[in-house]
Parts: sequence; C-alpha cells; structure tokens
Amino acid sequence: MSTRNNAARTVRQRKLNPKQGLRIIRESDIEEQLDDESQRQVYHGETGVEKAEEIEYHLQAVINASNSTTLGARAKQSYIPTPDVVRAKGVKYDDLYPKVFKEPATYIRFGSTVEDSVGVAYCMNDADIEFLARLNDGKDIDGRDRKDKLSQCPEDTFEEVMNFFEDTSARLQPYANVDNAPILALEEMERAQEEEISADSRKWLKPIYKYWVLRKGNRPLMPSIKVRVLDTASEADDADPYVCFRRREVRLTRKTRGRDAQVVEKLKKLRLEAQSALELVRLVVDRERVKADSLQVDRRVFNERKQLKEVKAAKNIIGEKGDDEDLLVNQKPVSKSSKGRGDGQAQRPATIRLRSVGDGRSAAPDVDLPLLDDWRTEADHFVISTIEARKEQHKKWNQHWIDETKYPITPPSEESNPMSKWAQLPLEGLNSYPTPPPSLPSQSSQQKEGEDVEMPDVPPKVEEGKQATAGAEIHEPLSVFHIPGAYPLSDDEASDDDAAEPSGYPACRLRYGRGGRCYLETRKRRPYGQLSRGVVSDSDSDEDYGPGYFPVSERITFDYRAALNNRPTRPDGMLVQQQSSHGRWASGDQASMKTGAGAHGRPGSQGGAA
Amino acid sequence: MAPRNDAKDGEKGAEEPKPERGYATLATLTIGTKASVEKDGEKRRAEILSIQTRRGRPTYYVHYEEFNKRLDEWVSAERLDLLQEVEWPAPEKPDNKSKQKTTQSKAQQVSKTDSRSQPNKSQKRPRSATVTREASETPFDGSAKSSRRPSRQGGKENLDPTVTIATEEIGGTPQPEDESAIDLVDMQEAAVAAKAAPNHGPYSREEEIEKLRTGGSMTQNQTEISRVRNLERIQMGQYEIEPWYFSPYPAEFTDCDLVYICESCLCYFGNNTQFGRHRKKCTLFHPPGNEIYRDDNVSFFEIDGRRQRTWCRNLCLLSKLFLDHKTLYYDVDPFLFYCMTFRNAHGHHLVGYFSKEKESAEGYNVACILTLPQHQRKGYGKLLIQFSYELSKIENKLGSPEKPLSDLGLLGYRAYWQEVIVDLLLEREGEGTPIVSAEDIGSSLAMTTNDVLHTLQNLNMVRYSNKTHVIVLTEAVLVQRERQKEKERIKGKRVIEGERLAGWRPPVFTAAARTWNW
Ligand SMILES: [Zn+2]
Repeated sequence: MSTRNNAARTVRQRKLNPKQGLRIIRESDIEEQLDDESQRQVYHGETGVEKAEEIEYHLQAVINASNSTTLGARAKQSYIPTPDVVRAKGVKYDDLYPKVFKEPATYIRFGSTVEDSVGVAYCMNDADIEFLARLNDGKDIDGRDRKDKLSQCPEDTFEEVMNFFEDTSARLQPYANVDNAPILALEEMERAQEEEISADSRKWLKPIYKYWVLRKGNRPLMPSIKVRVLDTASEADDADPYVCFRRREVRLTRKTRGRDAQVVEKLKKLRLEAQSALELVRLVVDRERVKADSLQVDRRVFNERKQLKEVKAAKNIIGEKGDDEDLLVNQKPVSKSSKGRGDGQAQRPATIRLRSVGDGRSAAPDVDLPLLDDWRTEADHFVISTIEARKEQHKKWNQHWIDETKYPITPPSEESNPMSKWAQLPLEGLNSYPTPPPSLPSQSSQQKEGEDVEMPDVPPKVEEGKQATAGAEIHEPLSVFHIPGAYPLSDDEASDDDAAEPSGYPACRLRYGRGGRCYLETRKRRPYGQLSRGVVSDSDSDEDYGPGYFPVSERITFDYRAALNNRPTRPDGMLVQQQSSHGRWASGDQASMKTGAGAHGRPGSQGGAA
Repeated sequence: MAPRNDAKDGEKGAEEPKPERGYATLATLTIGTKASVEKDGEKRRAEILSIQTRRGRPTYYVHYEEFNKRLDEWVSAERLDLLQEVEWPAPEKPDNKSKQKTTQSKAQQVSKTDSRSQPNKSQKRPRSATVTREASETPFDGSAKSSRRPSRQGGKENLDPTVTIATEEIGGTPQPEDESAIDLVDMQEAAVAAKAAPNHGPYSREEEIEKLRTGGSMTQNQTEISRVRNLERIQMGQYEIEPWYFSPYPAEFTDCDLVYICESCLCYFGNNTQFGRHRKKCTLFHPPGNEIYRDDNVSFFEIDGRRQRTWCRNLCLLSKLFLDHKTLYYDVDPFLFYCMTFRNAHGHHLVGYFSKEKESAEGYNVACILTLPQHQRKGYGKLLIQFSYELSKIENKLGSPEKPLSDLGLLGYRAYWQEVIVDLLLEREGEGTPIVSAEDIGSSLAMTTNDVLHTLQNLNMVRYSNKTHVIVLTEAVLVQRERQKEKERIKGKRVIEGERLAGWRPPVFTAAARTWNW
C-alpha cells in the first residue's frame, strides 16, 4: 500500500495539463482508497490577498474552516467581522427621498451629470438660515433696518447668490488659501461675472455680500476634495493623502522639452507647407487674371479688326496684299503665346513635371542627355562637399576636445602630417636631453590648457576626408592604437611609406599634453596586430625582451583603457606610464622603456613641463 | 494569545534587532508603541497609531496585530493593559543621523523638529480641519515628560525623532491649542511614514504611481493605505455606517461626527441642514448612466468615468471608505463603473458596484468591487461577481479580478468560483459527457484557467487515479452545494439572468476616449 502510494505521489508531480480532458468522477468511483496523507493535504495556492493580510486572524479562521470542510470534517462557520451598520435614527427618509419615482417600462438611458442634476451647488447651513430669516425680517447684517426696497429673499435665491460669490472668488483667486489674498470687492465680482445669474438674484447681491465676507475664510464654504487640475504636482502634493484624482500625465517637467521641440518643429513645417500652398493659389489666381485680361484684349482687337474690315468693305478700300493680312485673325501672336506657354511648362516645379515625364520625352526627344561623367563628377562633388561640411561641423564640436573614443570621427591632427614631428634620436644624443623639433606648436598654443592636439587650420584634402570617414567604420579596429602613417602596416608597405626613414634609431617626438606636460614618445616597429587586441604587461616587467602581450578581448581592452584614463595623475614616474593611457602610443612607450630612450624621456618631459 | 505572540517575537528576533520592551505609563506611551489592549474581552497586542486628547482624556488609535485594519479603533486609556510590558517602537536604522547625535540635547531636538513642521502647517492643514473635538488640553504634567523611558534616553543614540516630538508636544509643552492639534495630525502621518519605511514592498512608491498611471486601481503601497481612519460615521439613506478605512474626503470632515451622503448623487455634506437643502434640489433617482440590465430584483447601470466624472469620483470616495487597497491617486477616466441597484418608489438604491478598466493590459475584468456595508451578507456580492463574468462572456474574454483582493473579496470570489464550477461539473456529468479540461471550464465560465485550477485544487478536487488526473466531485462540495440549494429554496435564489443582458454590447472607445490622460 505504502509503496503504491509513494509511486502515485511521484507521478502526481507531473503538472496537470489544462488542455487535457479530465474525467469527472464521484469520490465513490475512485478505485484506490484515498485516505492516505498525500491525498488529504491542503493545497496552498496564491490567494491574491496581500501577504500581510493573508495571515490575518479572521481570514485564517475562515480559510481553515473551509479547508477542513473540504476534507470532509464539520467546521464551525466562521466569518470576518466588520464595523457596525445601524439604521439611522431620526431620519425622515420619506421626506428626504420622496416616493415619486416611476419606473419606466424600458431601460433607462441617461446622460446628465451630477452638476446638471443637483441645482445650485451651494447649500445653506444653520447660520445661513438664521441670517436669511433676519434678512427677510427686514434687517441687514448689522441688525439695522434694511434700506433697500427688496421684499423677501427665497432660499434658492440666497443660495444662488452665495454660490455666485463662491464660484467667482474661486475663479478669480484660485490660490486664495495659499496667498491670503484680500477678499474681492463686490464690484470686482460683478464685473468678472461669467455665468448668467438671474435678475432676481442680482438684486440680492449687495445685501448678502457683507454676510458672505463675514463668513468667508480662506477656504471654500462648501468643503471640497483636493484635486489638482493644474499640473502643479509637487512633492508636497504627492505626500498629501487628501490630494486625489490626479491627471494621468507624465510629469511635465521631465519629458516635455524634447517633445515640445518636436511639436514645434512639426508645426513650423506645417506652417511652411501651408504658406507655400497659399502662395501657389495666389499665383494661380494671378495667372487667371492675366489670362482674363489678355482674352479681353484679344476680343477687343478682334472687334476692332472686324469694324475695320467692315469699313474697308463699305468704302471698298483695297490695300496691298500685305495690309489685308493684318485684318485676318493673326495667328502669329497666338502661336507665340502658345510657345511661351510651352516654356512655362518647362519651368514648372519639379514635382508637377514628374507626372508628365512621358510627355516631356516624346515632346522633346532631342533634349541634351546628361553625360554620365558629368553626373558622376557632380555626385562626387556632392559627396566631397558633404564630407567637408560634416568634418567642419565635427571640428567645431570637437574644438578644445580630443576625441579619445574608439573610432574617432575627428582624427587627431597628426594625420595631416604625421611624420613631421617625428625625428631620429641618435644614440650619441643619449647624453643630452632631446630638444623639441622645430615643427612643434608655438608657445602660445602650448599654454592653452588641455589642448594637446591642435586642429589643422588648412581644410583637409579629399583623401583625408575619406580617411576620416573610414576611421569610423567598423572593420578597422586596429587603427585605434595606430597612428596612421606612423607605422607601416607591414614590411612590404614600409618601403612605400617610410622609405625616407632611416631605420637605425628609434623615432622620437615631444608631445605636449594637458597642463603643459611634456611627453617624449618613441616609435618602434611594433608587433603588428597584437597590441590592439591585447593588453600590455605591467611596466614593472621591463626586462630584456619586449613587453609581453596577452590576448584579451576587445571589450576588456576598452575597459582597461577607461580605467587608465580614470587613474589620478601622479607627479612623477607615472608620466610615461600615463602616456600609455592614450592607447594609441602604448607600444611606443613600451619600446622606449626597453631601448633605454625612455630613461631620457622622463627627464626630458619634466624639463618640458617646467 | 500569549504563545502566539511569543512565537512571533522569536521569529523576529532572529533577523531584526529585538524590539525593546519595558513598562510604560500613560504618559510615556508614544506613537508606534505596541501595548496590550483589551478587545472584545480578550487582551491583544496593538500598535498605537495616533494619540488624541478628547474631553481632557487621552485616547489612542490602535491597530490590533493580525486583525484587519477595519477593526482599528480609538480606545480609552482604561483598555490599555500597562501591567504588561510594552514594545517600544523600533529605533531607526543606524545611519548618518547617528553622527549628529549625543551632543544634541532633547530641547534642541524638539525645537528643530518644531521649526521643520511649522512652515508647512498653515498650507497643509486648513485651520478648520485641525480643531479637534473638545480642543486638546494638555493632560500630562512636566514631570511625566522627564521620566519618560530613561533607558532609551541614556542608552541608544538614534532616537526616532518623530517619537520624540510626539511625546514632547503631547507632554504639555505650552502651545496654542490649535497648534498642538495640528501636530497631532502631522504626527499621524509621521507615524505612518515611519511604519511604512521598513516595509519593503515589491514596488517603490514612484514605481507604483507610474504603474497606476497606466493601469490598475489597487495599491500595495503602505503610505497609501496605512492611514488613520478620518471619518467617524457616515449616514447614507436609512443607514449609519462606520467607515473602515481612510478616504480623502474634504479634510474638514475629520471633525464631523456624521457625514451625510446623498444616496442618489453620492455628494457629501458635513452638516444635516446642508444635506437637507441638497435633497430638496437633487433630482437624480438612479446612477447617471444607462441601465443595461434589469430583473425583478436589481438593475445594473453602466457609467463611464470620463463622462460622469463627479459621480464616479463620489463613488470612489465612498468605496475607499471600505476598500483598503483602492487608490484614488489618479482620476476615474479610464474606468467603467457597473452599479447595481434595487428599486422602489424612492428610486434606485445603490447596493454595490464594480469598476472595470476600459482596456486592461492584464486582462482583468474587475478593478474594484464592493457591496456597500449596509447591503452586505445578502448575496449581492455574488451577483456582482456573476455580472462581471457575464460581461466577459459577451466580450468573449476570460476575466479575473485585479489583485490584491481584500479578505472579503477573496472569500466572495472563492464561493462564487466553487459554486459555478461544481454546477458546471454536475451538469456535464448529467449530460453524460463527463470529460472536461480546465480550459473548457474556464471558457465556459469566462474564468481564467489559472483561477479554475486554483479553485479545483483548493477544493481538493483534482486527484490522480489510474495514472491519470481526474476531477472528483467530492462529498464535501456536494454537501455544501446541497446545503446552499436548500438555503436558496427558503430565501429565494438571486442570479443574473444572462439572457437579459443580450442587448448589451461592450462599449467601444476611440483611442482618445480610452486614453489615460484627460
Ligand atoms: Zn444628491
């Protein structure tokens, strides 16, 4: 028995398939007797009640009772206690809710709002009733006899007047409770009146105004909930439990700027388009007017000629042959105008002409075909000028900044003449400090803080433009660390590019960095293709052989660079190493350490910084 | 009682710093203290959420542990058992506050917090709202203050500042009356905040507000729900009802002994005369929408929150009095309100309602559901639930109520689900086609498969027999069903007759009307 049950239990772990048809049976139909524990356990699923409330005493009592009922036991009925509800005493229900409702035969359809259905929102309280009684007794607010000739003020009128005061003051001084604004004068409110107030009530404005002022605090007389209609949602509002029914808007302060700009752009565009449409319509109108005028003129000419013809015929004047020609309807001007119109057609805006492309071709087959070469040049020109414009733009953006990103859009200025600053450091010179090469930037530019790369003033040539854009392409990860032109990509290429460079000594240059720091950089043929994808071993390990390269994923390389960039600058000894933070020259630094030129590089750079 | 408390404390002690215990006097009791309070003849541990002075005597608003908040109440000092140790409020977690600690004298602390709370008083709390009944006197003498909780004063540095203020101001610091009253109210909020702080729910307040902006009507946020009830009593129709929870009715109503609510338009009045005047002018006889269902007992009205903003807001304010997790943070526009009424010569009388999102991303067919307390325990809840599923059937959708459910909501739904599922199974059995899948049941009843499975498993009706799952109509459920039918025979059965809804079509909204904005 028990083994069987165990088996059943393990199989039952299988999830119930909700799509699977299940047989409905009675308990008596079950073959196995199910009095074992496994079938009797109570299921504990999600209740959907909040966890803290789920454990509440009374709910648990009810759940437990129903669970034991489920298991066949008899349990005492439990219930969840709730606060009292009692019949209200002293309520004259039939007076409050008179029995006048008649059930319509069909379903009720109703669209009026509460505001439509409850009349004047202001309702009198006991003080109002007392005052109104005195008022109708012929007394004013101070208890003196009223001087006006008004008779009795009905309750509804009184409420309408009070409502008018409340509404108008709320409208004119929405922040009265915050501002402590002075209570509005009666005249001011009468002027600002918007809704129609009945003539009856208007008569009572004055007598009741004083009373209203007396009652008016800085809150509405009819208590109202706190709703924020304007978007003044502040932190204080958020925390105020009485503020409710907020609009479901994203906080304006956060999101709108971008959206507003978008909307403004759209509106501007729409306006422009509408304007040009208007302009077109105007032109059409003008054209039609001109046409009408010309028709008038034609008609007059025709009439005149007709008269002349008649006169000629009557007087039997026979002129020369050519003269009579004039009397005929002259085709010439017509043809001229038609030709003119044809020209006009040719000058129509491109969009319209596009529709009649076929016509145009058949009409003018011998129009000069554009030469493919011309097109190409034009396209090239367009591309180049676009690139130039973009480059100028980038330069403007990047002014005073060095682009140290992975694929810089604006390449460093060295590119324009990368070799100019590089010079041989002869081994004999090891005893003396290297002097800056003559091509270094001027003193003034050195002093510009943080400006270690100057943008070339000359507009770059087209080739450079191509290079610049190529730099942004993905297939060139190596260029990140590579100064274009500084190193030949391979030995074969070296002969082309760097034929002039004698290979005996390392090439050096002095570079000015942030804060006027000076860096001596040396170049060495570096192992191609390794550095860019690896990380250079620590500079402590500068031994006889070259720096160790560890292949590292590009991502890590990037992180490493980023980390180096964040490293605080140390006064001494770090300068050279810091250089490596500028990724591009990493191999050069390492080389300098190794060849011993680095030993001079440091004092040299210090001298430069001083 | 005692054993359970001990067990709970033991549990707590493992993780949290053990709450400090000690003996208290009336004068040393502070907000956040847990003391033993007499409730229905039993002693029960309760947390003090607010302290007020009424008619010169201190009264305490307490929340009983493991009781629903609807049983929170004001108790007089006599009901507190101070012979038992109290649990002092947990100190705030040691943080940067402890830096500015020891040297700061108590007096400084008080004046500091005073100045902090002062500026926002005037705007935050309207004057009229703060005048508590029988304006607070200063019941405690100065000596009580100084004797307060010496152990804490001497020992731990990180005193909960809110607690300190509370004691100081109640403890007879000479102040204008209404100002101390203001502070009482502020203190309540401070207590709420303090209480809510350690309670890390799944959502931050910001996240939840954002979530509610785009869907849902229920909140789990403690700051939203842990509030001291603000209305004493309401009168609606022929009934006087004790509210269960806080609802953001005008703050002025806190001082009213009775708030009057018009049965027709649900407008609210703090004054019987005003209410009487309103009734003279009010012309509504039924919820302001279209009647979409009518049978011998009840009618249903469909009301668009966008078109009937005032009425729906009034309804939400009213229902918030009885729904703890309902949030009124956002407006009523994206909801439809299905209001059930019964009719007589006075007009239609609201019995209950459920709200429903015009478009629920989560597939809920009910957002909030409530039978008004004066009409509870009469089977109306089941009608409301059934009606919500009848709508889903017409919509060809499977529905489920929005979570969290209240305790009463859970019981109502469980009872309904059990009844309709058992009836369906009996019907299938009777038809001689006793095979059905959970999905079949769900689609027949417009219930989600999940709810079907939970119900079946809850009732222990899914069994494993002959290497396959079966649904067992257990003796227990059959007996329960029989008993219920017996009851129906006596009291009359109330059901929604689906065919009377045949004319109803799910309202269609343009994108603009459905939008969550105004
Ligand atoms: Zn009304």
